[in-house]
This record gives sequence, structure tokens and C-alpha cells, in this order.
Amino acid sequence: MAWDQDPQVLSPMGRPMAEQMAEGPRRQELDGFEPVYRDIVDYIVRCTHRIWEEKNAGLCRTHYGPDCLMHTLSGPTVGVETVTQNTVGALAGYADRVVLAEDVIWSEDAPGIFYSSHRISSRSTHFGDEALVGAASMRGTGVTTIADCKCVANRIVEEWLVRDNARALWQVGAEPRAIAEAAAAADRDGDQTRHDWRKAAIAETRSLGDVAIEADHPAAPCAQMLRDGFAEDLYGQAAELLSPAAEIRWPSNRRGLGRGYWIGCLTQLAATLHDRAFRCGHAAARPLPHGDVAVALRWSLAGWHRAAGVWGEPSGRELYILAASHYRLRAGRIVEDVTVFDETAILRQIAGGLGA
Amino acid sequence: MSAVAHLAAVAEGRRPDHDGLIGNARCEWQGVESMGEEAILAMFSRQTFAPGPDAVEIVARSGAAWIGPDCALVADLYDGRVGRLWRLGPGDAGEREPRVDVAFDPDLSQARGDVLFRREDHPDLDDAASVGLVETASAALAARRAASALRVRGFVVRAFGSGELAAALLAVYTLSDGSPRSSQFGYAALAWGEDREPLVVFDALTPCPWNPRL
Repeated sequence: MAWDQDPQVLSPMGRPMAEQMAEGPRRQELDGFEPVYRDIVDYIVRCTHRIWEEKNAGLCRTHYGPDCLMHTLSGPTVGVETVTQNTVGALAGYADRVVLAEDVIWSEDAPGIFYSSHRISSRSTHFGDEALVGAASMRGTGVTTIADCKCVANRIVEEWLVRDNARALWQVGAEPRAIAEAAAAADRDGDQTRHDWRKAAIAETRSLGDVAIEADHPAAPCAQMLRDGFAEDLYGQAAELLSPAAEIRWPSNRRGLGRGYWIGCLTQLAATLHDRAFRCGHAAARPLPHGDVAVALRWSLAGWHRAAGVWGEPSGRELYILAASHYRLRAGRIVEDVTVFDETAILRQIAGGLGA
Repeated sequence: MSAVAHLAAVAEGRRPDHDGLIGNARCEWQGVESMGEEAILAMFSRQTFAPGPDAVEIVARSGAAWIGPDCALVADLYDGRVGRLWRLGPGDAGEREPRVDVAFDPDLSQARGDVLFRREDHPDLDDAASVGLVETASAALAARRAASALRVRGFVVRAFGSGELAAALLAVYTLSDGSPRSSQFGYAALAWGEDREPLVVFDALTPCPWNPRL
């Protein structure tokens, strides 16, 4: 399907919540979806609102497939009951969580098979005790998450979830490295086959090529840009796709401007990761207000941690990174890059967790 | 309500009518980010924004600016509603979050330039104003560099308006000339018109420790 099909299906960008929540007739063919959903963007935004803000976590049971597979950099979870229980747990700890939909970049990859990349800034108060960070801190939090979902007939059947967890931990007064080391120690106990997913993900990153993207698709140059950087070390060439004044937002509060800053974000990772492999796993694009274009890429990186740098002394371990990038293009150049990955889970691998 | 009215309400910490501040808006001030309408209005309630009677208002399809002698508000607009904000000026914005710093070269060549600007990034800016704004930015940054910086670069993040009156938001990167050097990002807001003195407001930022590691 064309990347800009169904132009009546609008991005949430620049639209008030009341307008987004207005009920009405279908704006797009959605076989098997509940009548309340007007289009695929509405499905994503409204079901997130119903589950998280209206606290109807049980709706996960009608919005996720029974055996849905959720990929995170801390490992996959399987099944709708796990999704539901994790949602209830998050609601207990962060009861006032507001999910601010910044964009939903989607594609219909085959008739009735939708893929959405949902960028959320979630704001909340750390009200409750929890296993990961301990006692409630009563601090405010606000981090960016990108949830890529494969949706069929009202159900999410597979999800790739990336969240800026290092920033989230800082916000509640925790230290990402300490949390990662504690998790890694627990990972080293018990049956190690539970971490086989990571080996498989690395093998996939190393052996599978990029997902096919048509040459005239807006995502094609963006994927090539990341490949030129991470796989070919041609950073300057890659960065020519960016505006000289592009805004760059990467995890752990990396915020800067321009091609050089973007190069700095890549080389900070690449300098520590030797024998790297890069793979683009999915791409989508949608029109934005004012004639801009939004591009979503899900990508992964594998490499050997053999040099000191951003993550400390080299561990010698092979690391896996699952990431998502949202780009805003204007007149053929990227003016905004929002990239998200879970850097705490990288520290966890460095500390010998997750089977690394 | 107009975008100016929406900004005036936000500046006092009031919720604008007609969803004038979009729920998922974010606002930056002195490196501190407020996410969402509730947090933004709480921040402005604590410390209202009052640019004074001589402040300049510039409104275009995609952006608005309200620039006083020592403070400024710059906004992204969607159908006249505020979708994103930058606040510049004095006050206590709160504690900045920890971050991973990134080593970078802003120039990528020896052809040094003060202002990084791409005309096509700013469709609501006319040609005369683009020249005036970039010249104003360059002069302001040169003065900044003379005050002990090795390197000052301005990235034109937003610009809109006409020859009569135009505004720009610059992200300003500074690398000090001391030893050790210190690095920081901040913002500047500019107002420029063919028949008026340019107005430039720099945000007040304190240098943070350099931390290129997690």
C-alpha cells in the first residue's frame, strides 16, 4: 500500500485530545475492529487512552492477541495475561500516568494487517513501591516511549517496545548502572536458556538484510543514512540527509542540534562496539501537518563491546540494541530525529545479564 | 481566540480557551522540560511570564513569538493552537536532569560559520526576513564569542515572518576558551524588521559538568 494512502487518517500531531476522542463514523476500512475506532490512528490512541488513562487494563484482553509476543531489550514476554498484569502493575505504581500521543506513524503492510509506530511521552508520579526501583519516590517522571505494534482485527499480535529507561530511572532518583547490575545478577541465576532470545536477535541482526523499502518511499534514505553510519562508518555522507539545524533527541537526555551532533550520537556507540552489524526491521511514513513527512524506522545493532567509552570499560561481550527512530522530514531533509532505546538494558548486558 | 491570546493565557498559567494549548505540548526553559498541558501551566503559574508593554508579537501560520527586552516565548502553532513552547529569560526553571553529553563538531569543515540555517526549513519566512534574521543572529553571536568563547554557533530552529517583522529561535552552542573548556546549549530569540532595531534575547544558562558516559 502507498505510504500516504488514506490521507483522511491524520497524525495526532497538533490535534487536541477532545478532537481526537470525538466519536463518529469510520474514516478507514478496518475489518474486525470495534465500531468505536474510526481509523488505525484512532485505534492506537483511543485504546491506549482507555487502557491507561481510563484504567481499564482488562481491555488488553480484547486488544492483544492471546499469544501476543512483546519484544523489549530486557527480553520478550508472551501472552495477553502477562500484558494485562504488567499494565495493572504499572498503574499501581504510576497511577496518574498520562499518555501523550506525539505521533502514530503507520502502514498497512497487507490488506487488514496494520503496523503502527506510536511515540508517546508519558508523564506520571512515582506513587507506588515496585520491584525494579524500590520505594515510591513521589518524584515526577516524563519519558519517551515508542511502541511498534502489528495490529490485526482489533488485536495487537506483536509489539516492539522501546523506552528511555535510563532517563526514567534518573527521574525517580535511581542509578541506571546499579539497577542494571542488580538485574544482571538475577539474570545469571537459573535456567540460562531463557535468554536465548538475545542470541537469536543478534543472529537476526547479523544475518538478515534490511527490510525491503521501495526506493521512492520517504523512509528509504533514512534507513540508508543509518546504514551508511553504523555499517559503513561514512558518518559525514550519512548526515547530509539532515538539515544543518536538525534537532536531535536521543536516549538518556542526549539533546542537541545539527549534523555534527547526530554524528556524535552514532560515533559514541560505534566507538565502543566493534564488528558491528546494523539491520532495519521495519519502515513506515505518513504525512504531517504543514506538508512535513514523518518516518518511523525500527532498527537493531549488534557489536562487540571492546573499547572504553560511553558505557565504561570494555566488557568484551557482544551487545544487542533494539531501537526506534522517528524522523520529521521537510523539503527532503530531516529536521527532527527522536530516537529511543533502553540504555539500561545495554548496561545490563555489559554486566553479564540477559545471557550476554 | 488568537494565538496571541492563547500565549497570554499560558503566560499567566491559565488554560487557554478552545484547547489553545494542545494536551501533548512540551515546553523548554533553561534546559528543563515540562511535558503536557498540566505541567506547562503549573510551571507558568509558579512563575508567570511578563515581557512588558513594549514586547513584540509575531504570528505566522506555523509559529508565534512574544519577545520582550529580557525574555521571550516562542511557540509552534497548529491551526492557531500552541503545540510546543520555548521560554527564555530569568527565573528559576528548576533542576536540570542528568544527561549523557555527546562530543561533536558543529562545523564538519574548516569553513567556520556562525549561523546554521537552511532556508527550506522555514516556509513561513520570506526572503527579505531570512537575510535580516541571519545577519542579526550572526552579529549577536559574534558579540557573544568576543566575551571569552572559543566557539559559538547558532542553529536556526524556528523562523517565520516577513520583512515587516520576523522572529527566529536559535539554539546556541558555546564552547568556552578556558582550560578545561566547558560546553553548553541554550537558546536565543530574535525579532527583526526592516524599519526597527533588532531585538535579541539570550537565555540564562549555567554550565553543567561534562559527562559523556552513562
